[in-house]
Amino acid sequence: MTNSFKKHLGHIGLVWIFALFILSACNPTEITSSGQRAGTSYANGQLANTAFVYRDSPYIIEGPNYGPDVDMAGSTDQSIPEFITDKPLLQSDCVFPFLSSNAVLQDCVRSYASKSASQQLLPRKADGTWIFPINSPEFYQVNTLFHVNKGISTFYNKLKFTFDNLYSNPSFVGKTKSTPAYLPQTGMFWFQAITPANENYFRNSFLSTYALCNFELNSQFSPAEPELCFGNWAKHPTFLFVQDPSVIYHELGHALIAVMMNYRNGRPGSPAPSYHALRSNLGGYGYEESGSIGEGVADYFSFVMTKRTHFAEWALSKVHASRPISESDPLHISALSETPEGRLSYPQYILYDPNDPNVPIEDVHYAGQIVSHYLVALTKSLQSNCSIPTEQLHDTSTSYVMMLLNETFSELGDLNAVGLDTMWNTAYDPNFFAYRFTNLDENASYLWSQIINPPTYRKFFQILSKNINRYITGGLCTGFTQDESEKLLDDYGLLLFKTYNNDGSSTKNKFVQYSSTGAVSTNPTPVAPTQTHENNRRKSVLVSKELLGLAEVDTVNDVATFYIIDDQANMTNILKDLLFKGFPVNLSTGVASTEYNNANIKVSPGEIVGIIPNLKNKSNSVMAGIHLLATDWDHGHITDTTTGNFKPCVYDDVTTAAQGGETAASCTNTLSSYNRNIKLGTGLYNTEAVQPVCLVQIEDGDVTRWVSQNEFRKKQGLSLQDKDCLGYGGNVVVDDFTFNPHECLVRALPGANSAYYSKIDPQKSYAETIRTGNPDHIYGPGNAILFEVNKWIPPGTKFRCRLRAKFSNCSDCFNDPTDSSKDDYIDAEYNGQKPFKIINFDFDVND
Amino acid sequence: MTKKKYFYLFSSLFILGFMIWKLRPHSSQNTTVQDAKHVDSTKLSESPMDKPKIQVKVFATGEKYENTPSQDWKAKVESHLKVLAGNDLKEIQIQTERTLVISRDNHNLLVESVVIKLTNTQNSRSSFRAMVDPQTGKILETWDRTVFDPAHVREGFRYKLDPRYTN
Repeated sequence: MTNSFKKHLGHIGLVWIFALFILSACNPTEITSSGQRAGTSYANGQLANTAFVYRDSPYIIEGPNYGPDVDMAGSTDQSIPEFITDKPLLQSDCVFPFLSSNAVLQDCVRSYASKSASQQLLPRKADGTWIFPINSPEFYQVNTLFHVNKGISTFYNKLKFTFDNLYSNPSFVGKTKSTPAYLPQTGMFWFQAITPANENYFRNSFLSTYALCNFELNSQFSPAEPELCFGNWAKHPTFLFVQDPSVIYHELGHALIAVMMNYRNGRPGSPAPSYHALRSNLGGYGYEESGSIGEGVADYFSFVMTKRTHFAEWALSKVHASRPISESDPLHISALSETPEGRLSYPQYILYDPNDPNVPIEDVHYAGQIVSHYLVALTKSLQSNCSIPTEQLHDTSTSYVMMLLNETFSELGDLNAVGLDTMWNTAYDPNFFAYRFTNLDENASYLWSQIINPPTYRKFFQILSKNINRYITGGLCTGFTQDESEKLLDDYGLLLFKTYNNDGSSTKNKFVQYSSTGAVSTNPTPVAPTQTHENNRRKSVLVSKELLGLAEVDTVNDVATFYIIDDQANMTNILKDLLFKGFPVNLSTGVASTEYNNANIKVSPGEIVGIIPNLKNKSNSVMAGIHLLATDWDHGHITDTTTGNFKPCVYDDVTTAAQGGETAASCTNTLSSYNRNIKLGTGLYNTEAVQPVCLVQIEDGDVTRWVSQNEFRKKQGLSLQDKDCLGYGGNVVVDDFTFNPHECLVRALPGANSAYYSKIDPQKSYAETIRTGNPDHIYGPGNAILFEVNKWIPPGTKFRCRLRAKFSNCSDCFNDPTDSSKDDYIDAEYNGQKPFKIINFDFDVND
Repeated sequence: MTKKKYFYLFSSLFILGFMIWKLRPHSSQNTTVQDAKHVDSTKLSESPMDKPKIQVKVFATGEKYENTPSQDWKAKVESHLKVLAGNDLKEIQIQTERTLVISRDNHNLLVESVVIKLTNTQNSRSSFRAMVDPQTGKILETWDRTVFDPAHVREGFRYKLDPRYTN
């Protein structure tokens, strides 16, 4: 041992002695077996409002082999206390550092242990701390508030970054943007409405968290409450989802998406702001791409918080269900890597479950991996392409991405539909502003943004990429070029669009456009949108909608054209599941019921049936994100305003003029507003309206025609009155103003009138695609469209339901192929047939 | 300053003032979605524009609506939900949030915005918001539904198809 080394040892010893002296001066406390510090008075107030927390899950702190039975003492940092809240009860404020001042929402988060009718907020301890015995219910609810507050604080810091850039950065000041400047005035940066005291816009304007929900291996976010709930594992009572902070961040991520989606749905006003009657959400019933986007972004928020590229190592890996967030993760199959060729690309990996890669699964969480992996790859690419100080790499790059998400979700969820603010960054008043630039208009915006044209991988990534061009390439990081952006997107198979759709066209008139500064003008030759560089499209394959059709019957390979669910047990279970998931379909009274379901695999009078059209991909590439609609659309020409009866427009060679079709008149244009074909207050019908999907065949002498159901019920000797029709809710005293007589006999049930299919392999039907590894023909509930069938229909009556289909990697669903600008269809076109392939579902009603 | 300059100055100020007035956040409500409170649900409108057979009622805010709210609309909704749920529901809560007038299919309807909370027999919970026609008890729209994140996604509700159907 050299003298020098001995000298160093001496110094180290002195440092230790000094440290012990300092610690003794701090009156160190003893940790009991229960985790409770003993013999501490906390009289000096140093621990006031604080607690000891677990900073990460036991998997990260104790190692992958730890658990699942757990004592959190080892995972809890008992050396450095953390601030929890200075409130006397376990709740905290939301502080949004808005530009130069703070916008504060009092008591915006409340933390509970478990839900009960008598639940009370936990009071701070008499010693002024929140330090409760480790593993106790109080311990978990304190920890939950700590992590939720941490997530909210991070989110608001990133929102501040967004605001500072949008409203102070010279590159963006004076330009249109989606994140509104008036968020502090409306309170829409949280689940809160600024309302007069006697109003009750939102029953609860605070987020409740429940650390110990009695859910088996589950966690959830409920926006209507709003609340976060974290489940457990009955087999291992000490194992809790809330022990994994990444799960808390994921669920909070869902909540923050709900906030971002609704930024624009409140407008400042006097004496109080006004709010749209509805709120936007991301995700629907069963598998669909908007739900996948939500899961992917929530996983990404976990990455923002933990900096780790794996989600739920503790809560989900113990049951083989955790998810990677990057291709470099060892859980992935070896074919995946962070190379252009090795990316987790769309649509190849839509059904990929890294925990069980040989058995495909149609599920939003696993499909959402494509979104989370892309966002992480984008973050890393920004880190390497932008001049960001090393110590700020993660924080700044994720701020860029969160700014993109703020702008993208704000645009997607805009139900007020103006889509634009004044040059002074105030909200336009729809009473005085004539134009709408997103989601059709304020009446139909919910339908458009959630059902007719909801977020898909194409729509989401098109808007996100538009915002990359505008904010990243256009100012924050010019080194990340349009080509860089498109190549990365294409590595993921997500370059699904031909333009950025940034031409500012109105939803109802493509000649009305707004400029980058928000000036609205009518342009005889519309300004063209920015096109993508086609040479960047290498993996993203687009397919014509003309190659989508119905499968032909193939008894050898067990392929049907349609599948029908008409047994009572399955249909009852579907209705129950729909209800529990928030889709309570309005069943008709007295004319249809599951009691009539006879399981004969036919459409019979009185039944409620589920239809799964077996779509076939006749191309040599995969079709993905197929969306089938049975909603009303503009496919008829109204011939009589006293009845609303109509002739079907001729769009294909299936329904012809000889069969009663109309080729001219109102069939040559598409309705710009969504008006159902129901009786007006005058007792008359509109001259133009959207029609229910199902036509019925009528015999006029030697001629058979496809006509409206209203015409049939009056002419075929049925003489069915309104009260005998499907969907009638009136009585002898009052009319039903929502009743549509043109769906008197067969109607698609609202709430179950659209279906999704993840992908269809080349030259295969959907059933054949999904059957791989699924020999029992087990299908997801989102694959079926439900129809009610009137019990008074004469047997043998023929119906034709004109469904509409589009898909995310479609080459001709989103723009007119003859338009050289490749501009996307305006929203009003989604009232008609142009963006869709018509799928004709023909059937007879028979006992 | 010449008269001409005064003219230009006042003209400019007038135009600027007009623009500010046009673009200001307006205090009036959305054209189609209006918040309102019950004041007189039976008062008939005497406007000549009103349609025959339809009794148009008026709210405090002056908004007219055509439907006739039923006193037991909540019971109608609950009954409807029970039909859908069969024996699977342990508890239904319907909490009112807002009463408002909306334009729907060219009719002005008074609607109730509610939060519906369900607990099933397995103690699973879900919730959503719904807009209800208080005349018919019909649920016109639902939103803000629970997002479920189960560990075992393969165990979720599925159904088995009967492949016999060949139309």
